[in-house]
Amino acid sequence: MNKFNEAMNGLEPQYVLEANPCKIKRRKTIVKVVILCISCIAITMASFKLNNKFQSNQCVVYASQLGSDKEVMLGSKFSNVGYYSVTQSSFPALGLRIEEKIEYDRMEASLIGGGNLLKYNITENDIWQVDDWGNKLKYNKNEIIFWQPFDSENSNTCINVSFYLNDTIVDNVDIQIKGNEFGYIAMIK
Amino acid sequence: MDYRIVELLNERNEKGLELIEKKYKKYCMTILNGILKNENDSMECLNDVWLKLWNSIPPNKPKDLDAYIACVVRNCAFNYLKYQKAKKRGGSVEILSLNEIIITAKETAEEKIEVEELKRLINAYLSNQKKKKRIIFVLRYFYMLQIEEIASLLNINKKTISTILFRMRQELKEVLVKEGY
Repeated sequence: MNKFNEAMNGLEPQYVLEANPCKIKRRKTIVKVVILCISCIAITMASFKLNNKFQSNQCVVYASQLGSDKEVMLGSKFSNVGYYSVTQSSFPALGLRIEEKIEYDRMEASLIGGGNLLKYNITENDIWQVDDWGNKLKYNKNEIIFWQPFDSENSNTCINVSFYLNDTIVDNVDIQIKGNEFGYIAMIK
Repeated sequence: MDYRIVELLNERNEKGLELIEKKYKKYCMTILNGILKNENDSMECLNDVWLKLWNSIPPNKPKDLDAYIACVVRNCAFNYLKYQKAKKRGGSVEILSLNEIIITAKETAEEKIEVEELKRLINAYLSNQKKKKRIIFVLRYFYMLQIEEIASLLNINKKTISTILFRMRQELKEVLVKEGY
């Protein structure tokens, strides 16, 4: 064997170990995996933050049927909100009363799915529909959001309510409503 | 685990060899492929490595099993090359990197002492180098990796590696000449 090569066999173990190609490769892989994990976590956190930027869950939603004293507070699980039926019910729509803890001056509701958003004027003795209706409506502070389905069964609707203060969104809530043979169930998404 | 392996080999327990194979096969193959440049030859030589390890521990009781195995693998690989070369009567197997440093080999009785002195000088030279440069040098002249392989392993430009190695060779040559080589 060449003398130089023979001498190289007598290298300090420390130098041999620090240059171990398998360990360098492994270290590189670990670094890559760590970077990948950090990126994934960062992306997940960023998207989570974006999604929840305006969803602070600072509001409580009560589903109340018009003309009824019964109110159901919505949670993260579906709860029965009424036996509203297009053909049988005397109630024209399902009312959603929202108590928002964050300060706001108006609400904007938009509908994804079937039905219509409506506005009603309610007095002690009378109820009448305001002209405005559609799948996107602006509401005043503390106004009840009314939703009227097209049919009771198989409807799946999501009402997104944004809360504004000086034209800036300060909070947001999604209310999911599903129809079944008995009526409607709803939850906060 | 290394301590346990050495203990098992000292007890002449074949489980020690199994553990070595399990832990160090990839490492050994990296070194063998670096020197022999042929997967089949490396596989063939690997059996010699296991045998040599079995025969050399005991009496040896290495503290750094990684480094010890690396030296055994290198020895086996060079012996294998020598054997193959003799078999082919001066065939074309060349160790290019060995020619990069020209050290005149004198077949004298003092050779062993000279090698020891050379070891000391190389270690002393490397101890004064930055870690990155030292790793490049060891990868090239101990693990016998190609410049392309080192470049990809360390994510460094091939030209940079070549330049670093060239300068290190020059510096080492100066040191060796100064010491009378």
